[in-house]
Amino acid sequence: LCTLPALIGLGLFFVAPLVTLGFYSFLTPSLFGASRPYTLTNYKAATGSAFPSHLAWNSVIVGLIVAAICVAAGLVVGYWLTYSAGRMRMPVLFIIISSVFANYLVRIYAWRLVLGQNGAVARAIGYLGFSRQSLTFLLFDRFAVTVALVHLMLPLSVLLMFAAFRPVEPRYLEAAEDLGATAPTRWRRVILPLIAAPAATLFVLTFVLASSDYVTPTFLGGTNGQLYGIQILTAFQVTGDWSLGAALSFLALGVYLVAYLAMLGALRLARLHNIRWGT
Amino acid sequence: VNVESEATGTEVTSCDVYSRRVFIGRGAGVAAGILAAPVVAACGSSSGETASGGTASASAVKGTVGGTVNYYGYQGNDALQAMKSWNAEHHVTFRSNYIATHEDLAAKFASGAAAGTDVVNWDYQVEAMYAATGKIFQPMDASLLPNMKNLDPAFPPARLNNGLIGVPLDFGTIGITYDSARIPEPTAWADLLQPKFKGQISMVNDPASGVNLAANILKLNTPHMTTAQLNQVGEYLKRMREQCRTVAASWGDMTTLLVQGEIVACYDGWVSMNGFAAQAGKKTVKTNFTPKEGSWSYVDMFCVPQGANNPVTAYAWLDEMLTPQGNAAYQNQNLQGSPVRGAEQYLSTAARDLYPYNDLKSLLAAAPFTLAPPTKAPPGYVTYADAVAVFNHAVNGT
Repeated sequence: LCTLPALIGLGLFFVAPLVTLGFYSFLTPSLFGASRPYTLTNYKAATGSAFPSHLAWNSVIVGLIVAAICVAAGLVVGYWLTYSAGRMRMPVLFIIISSVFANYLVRIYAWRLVLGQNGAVARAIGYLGFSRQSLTFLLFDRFAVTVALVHLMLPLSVLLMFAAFRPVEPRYLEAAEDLGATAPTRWRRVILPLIAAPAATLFVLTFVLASSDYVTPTFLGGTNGQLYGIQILTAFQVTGDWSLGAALSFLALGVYLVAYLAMLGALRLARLHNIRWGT
Repeated sequence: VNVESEATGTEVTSCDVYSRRVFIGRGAGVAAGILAAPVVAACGSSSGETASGGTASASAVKGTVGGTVNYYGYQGNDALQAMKSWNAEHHVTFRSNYIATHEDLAAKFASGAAAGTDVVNWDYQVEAMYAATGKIFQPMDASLLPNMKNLDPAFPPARLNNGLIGVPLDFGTIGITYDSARIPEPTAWADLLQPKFKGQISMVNDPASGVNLAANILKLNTPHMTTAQLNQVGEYLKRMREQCRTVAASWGDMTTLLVQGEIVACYDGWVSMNGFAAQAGKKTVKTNFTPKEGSWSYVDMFCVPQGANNPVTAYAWLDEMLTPQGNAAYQNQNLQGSPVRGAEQYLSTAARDLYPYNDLKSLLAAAPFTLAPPTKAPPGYVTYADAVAVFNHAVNGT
């Protein structure tokens, strides 16, 4: 009975929309609508003529880089907050959380000011004698999208890794040290096994969020930095082909499920999938 | 067939087309009971479709002016500043929802997300696409718009199946918008294709406008293009896109790029961008709307759509915007052209100097109003969907 509200919420806000979208993907499209008969042509188009291979490639590259940076930074900052920050912990956590309060679009636009031809980076490099014209790669390309997505995902990553470190009690590390383990050994033999599962989950989560984003690439991606999500947006909002949009969405969902299963498989292979925390 | 389908001439039944609203309603049922219900519910339910078309017909519009007016359209075209005193005098609260591209509005209405909208603003060129949704237009009551007599004959109201569906409240011409402090005035669209402008220009991610402009530059008949001609348009757009530093999300975004110094000129520029940039402190942004190859002009139409919550106030608001003073105040705010006779005398210098009001005929000959391709076309000719696909392929790489 206790789980009923959660089940209702899950059914209402996750399963029902998913089933609906899946249903759409098999309908025959019309302008901003869809109707019977059922068809597989949307999936044929989504995997064939309408499949944007270069956008998908961009998504994979950007998603992997963002996920790797976020997990690495999350590990370092999470470790520091847990074991070394002392009285700095709460102020730093407050700063991290407050950065999320700034509007998403404002944070994206802020990168235009930083990375633009008249931005802070260009000015600083200009003072060193380099031409600003040579710095156009900083903005309106995959680089700017990656930087902005790391900035957007980092607070979430740090908070999740901080939470992941909390059950790894300092006495585990002290015990390892008493047994002669060096700092790298403590990381390898104690910390990493205990936080492997949350770190892997964070990796997949940030990969999914970054690679599916379409707002950041719209404003910072230029002509070379667009991601797969723009194709889904175009199908739903521009061409009005909701069925193709749904099929493209399910295709992405399939890829993300494979990534998730691969993560579970990797953890199982490394025998890290059922590590237990706590005392 | 419900009320709205008769209004647009499009046969729409609740079993043929699935709106998002219908599905959200049905999805709730799914979660509460059977997960497979959307499939079952796809046919046979009667909710949703009639709800959006359930307003009184235009002739039955009665009531008192006042209350909330829901607006759906382009930012700025809600005339919030220009109509501030009128809104206050009539106790009208304007709630605005903005669109970035033409397609946004069609998508919102088709999905039911714009239910209860009282005033819609759309670009004349994509009228056929909006009509095809069957969920926007309804026959309007001309008797509630006595000031429609003020319209210049060059700007006729929009009609569908002989019924009034909208009135023009502003117009504008697309041109080469540029930063005069950084480059001399480009006199032809071909100038933007020169190597020196590579990475220095931008264009807007607006398929209808982008295709329309390219077709006009290539001297093609936009609403009646063949597939081969559309391919020419696609090639042209691709060349222009390769010159671009980025493809802007909107005209506002493109103005920001000019103001920030990221670009020096715009394909698909717009006279109003001069004013937007000036408001941001950049007074050197100018627009050449008579390039050698020609251009095209748009007309912003306004209507009271199906399912309006407050049609009485919506009609009164539109009628006020058709007065010379009201329309001039609107153009002074947005820096667009006025289609209302007599408005010129009330225009600010900045607004009046934008267009040659004493010779609009020549302007419209060089940059005519042009419709986008239709939603359905005979074999060998292109549809609106074809044009959008070519634009997206050429510009977005999708």
